[in-house]
Amino acid sequence: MLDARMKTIIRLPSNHQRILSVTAKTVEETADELEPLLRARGIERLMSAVKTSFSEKKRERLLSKIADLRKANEELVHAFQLPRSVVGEEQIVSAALVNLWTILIDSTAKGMKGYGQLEPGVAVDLDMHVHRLLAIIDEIT
Amino acid sequence: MNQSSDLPIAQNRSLSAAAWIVQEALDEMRLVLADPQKLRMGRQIREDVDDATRLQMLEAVEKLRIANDDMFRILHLKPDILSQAQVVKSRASHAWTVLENCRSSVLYSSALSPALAQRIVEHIDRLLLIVNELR
Repeated sequence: MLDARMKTIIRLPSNHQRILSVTAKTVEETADELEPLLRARGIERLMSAVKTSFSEKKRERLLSKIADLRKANEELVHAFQLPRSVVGEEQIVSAALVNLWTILIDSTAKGMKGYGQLEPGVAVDLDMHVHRLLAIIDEIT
Repeated sequence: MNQSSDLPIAQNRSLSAAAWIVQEALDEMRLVLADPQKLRMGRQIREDVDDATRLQMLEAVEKLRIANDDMFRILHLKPDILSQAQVVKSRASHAWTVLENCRSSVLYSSALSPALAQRIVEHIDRLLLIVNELR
C-alpha cells in the first residue's frame, strides 16, 4: 500500500521541484561516494587514506542501507518527476580549474605570509612547485 | 625538482590541504572527461568538448597529477588519513542536514496544499530514516 503510494506521480510547482532536485542530487552523491568506499574496504593513496574501521557484518549492513537509500531516492525522483540537471563537460572542468587557481595562488610563499615568514630557500622551493602547477592550469584554460 | 625542503607546520598543513583539493579536482575532471557513460540520476553531463581538446585536457590533467605528486613528496606534505566511520558519518550528516532543510521548507511553504506537502514529507522522512541508520 505504502509502496504504491510512493510510486504515484505528482506534479509540483517548479520552485519546489528545484529544491527537491538538489536534495535528491545530494542523496545520490552521498550514495555514490560511500558505496565504493565501503566496497573497497579502505583506500590507500599518496595524499589520502581511508582506513577500514567496520566489521564485515556492519559493512554489509551499511551497503544494504545505501541500496535502500538509492531505491527511496529513485522513487522520490520518479514520483515528483524531478528534472535531471544537464551540465557541460567544459563548464565542470572550467569551474574546477578556477577553484584550483584560487587555492594555488593562496599557497605561494606570498599567499601564505600570514602564517609567518619562510626561509628564502624554502620560499623559492615552494613557489617553484606551485608555479609549475599554475603553469599547467594555464595550458588548459 | 629534486630538492628536499621542510616547511613550517602551519604552511605544511595549508599546502597539504591544497594538494588534497587538487587531487580531488583532478579525479573529478578525469571522470568527467574520460567516463563514457556521463550519466547519473541527479546530473547528466553533456559532451561539449571535441575529441582533440578532450585528449589535450586529459594529458594536462595527468601532467598536473604528476606535478602535484612531486610537490607532495618533495615538500614532505602530510597525507589526509581518515577512517571509514568518519567518512560515512560526515557524508550521512551532510545528507541529513540537506534533507531536514528541505523538509522544513516544504512544511512551511504557503505555496503547497497541506496534502501535497504531506506527500513530499513522506518521501523525505523515508530518506531521513535510512540516512539516520548510516550516521
